[in-house]
Amino acid sequence: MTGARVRDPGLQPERTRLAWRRTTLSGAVVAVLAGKTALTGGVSAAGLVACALCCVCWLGLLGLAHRRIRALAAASAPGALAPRYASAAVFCTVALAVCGTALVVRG
Amino acid sequence: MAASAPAVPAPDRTGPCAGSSRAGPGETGQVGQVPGGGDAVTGRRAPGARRGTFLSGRWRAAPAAPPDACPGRVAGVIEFVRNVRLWFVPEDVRQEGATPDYRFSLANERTFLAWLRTALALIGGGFAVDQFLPDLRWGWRVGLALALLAAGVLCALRAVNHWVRCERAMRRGEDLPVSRFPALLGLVVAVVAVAMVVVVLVGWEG
Repeated sequence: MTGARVRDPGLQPERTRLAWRRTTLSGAVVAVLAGKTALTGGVSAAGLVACALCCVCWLGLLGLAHRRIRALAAASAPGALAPRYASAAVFCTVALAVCGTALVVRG
Repeated sequence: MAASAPAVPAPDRTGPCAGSSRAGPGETGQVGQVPGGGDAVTGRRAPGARRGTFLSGRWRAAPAAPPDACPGRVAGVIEFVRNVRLWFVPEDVRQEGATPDYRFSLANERTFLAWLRTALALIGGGFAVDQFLPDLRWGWRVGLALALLAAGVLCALRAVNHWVRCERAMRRGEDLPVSRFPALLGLVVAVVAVAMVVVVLVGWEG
């Protein structure tokens, strides 16, 4: 321990970091399922676009998690999550669902 | 003797709580307003800025919060619109009340992420129904998949809304908001599960 940082005995930042990681993992599962939906039963341009959008949403979630994890690691008493980030994460999730709707209806 | 009393307002009622309709902020707002206390995006904060309304192991809830002036559906809609505005204007959240202990904000964030994972699981379930039950009739398959996808969208939107409400309640020192959404989601998932059982038993024959 360096002395400059006091480690929280409850490991709250670490638990929050792992929660972000689990969330990105769930997003990865959804993106893989979206890819399977898009690529089975014939490849079409619309399906490929929807699949690419799903991948972009997942990358967005990944980027948000990366920035938040870096902020959590930077301070010993990190601040609350900015509402902008929460809204962006929810937007990515909703966009995944919208792309999924397009893929399911198309098939 | 009797005429002098109502003419002059009581001098001890002109404190910070005199005109306030809420019970909490008069107490907590005085404690917390430190300009430039920190940046939630980068997580940087001045050392020693941690403070809040957390005393000896439990939240100091606002004493006897007054009932809502206009209860009902209209007030709910107005509240929802205000919350939606707060999703995108983080400064408004930070202006109210006192900054709570960072551990409570992180716990709130983890709860939000858990609800987001629930939403992602519902969305993934929609994909899975579409992909892995190919023998179902088209209507049942697409209907179930769309129901699960819609449930995922609702769950994600509710997650951020509940997170904002909890964050604001913690800043104000109020009780955390209650919600009947978990019960509703449980019912919906149960109905979908029963529908799946029926569909799997019957649908393969039809």
